[in-house]
Amino acid sequence: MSINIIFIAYWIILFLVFVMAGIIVYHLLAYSLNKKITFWTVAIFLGVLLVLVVISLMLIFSVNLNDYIIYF
Amino acid sequence: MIILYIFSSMSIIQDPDYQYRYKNYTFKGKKEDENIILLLRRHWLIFVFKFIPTIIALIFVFLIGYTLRGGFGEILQADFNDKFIGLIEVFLYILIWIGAFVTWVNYYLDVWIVTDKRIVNIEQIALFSRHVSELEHSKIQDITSEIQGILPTLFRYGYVYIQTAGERQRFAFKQVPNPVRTRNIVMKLQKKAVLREKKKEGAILRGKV
Repeated sequence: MSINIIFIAYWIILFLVFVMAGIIVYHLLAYSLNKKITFWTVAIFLGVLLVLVVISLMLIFSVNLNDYIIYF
Repeated sequence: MIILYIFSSMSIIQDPDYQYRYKNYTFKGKKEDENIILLLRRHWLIFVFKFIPTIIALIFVFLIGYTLRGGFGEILQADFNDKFIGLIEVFLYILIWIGAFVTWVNYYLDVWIVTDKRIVNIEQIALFSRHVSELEHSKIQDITSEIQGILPTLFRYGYVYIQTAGERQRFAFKQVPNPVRTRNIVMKLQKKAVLREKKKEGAILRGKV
């Protein structure tokens, strides 16, 4: 059995990032004062986050992580 | 600094139609016949100050990535794959972006609303710490505005303290733009509310109600 620590750490951090993003979006929607501003704020936040996540996904699948594999 | 000051002065335009300015705004617990007269957040300069660590972190991550890729010559170049450095860098950018938005949420949801009926104080202290309190205009005893320091004087922001007759002694608008104007508006609303209450009391005494 083998575990790639970088690969696993990547998915754990990505999960935490999405949890945090969910909390931020929840706050913005739940306590919204102006629908238009809230919509654009959430759109900009999620848009930029999505771009960064896609770039990170492209990199994680293209980078050689053989040096970080732990064999059991 | 001068440009910032000019920008700040331009933003403090006296708006006589403030009732219509906030027609698209609402908040939890707003009554149907209630109109928002003032919606105050901390001055934008406070947000800039809170945002500085994010900008520093952004520059720091960029410089570290640039250095490790050999941007400053081969001496400082690390023995890492460029894509691996990029991956770490992108992840740090994601964390900085999340951090920047937490700062924004804390700033944006920290708000003081003055309506024609009451004052609502919503303080977003942290992401999971939120205080909401309200005060009727007729319970206001006196109002103090305070501008203290060089930057607050230049950019016209400060505190407005509202003394109440109730349990909570002081109601504070923190670092709000143009505290003098805010004080004047709240004072006018308080006078109107007291007059309304006196008229009501008079009507009761005369047996009209």
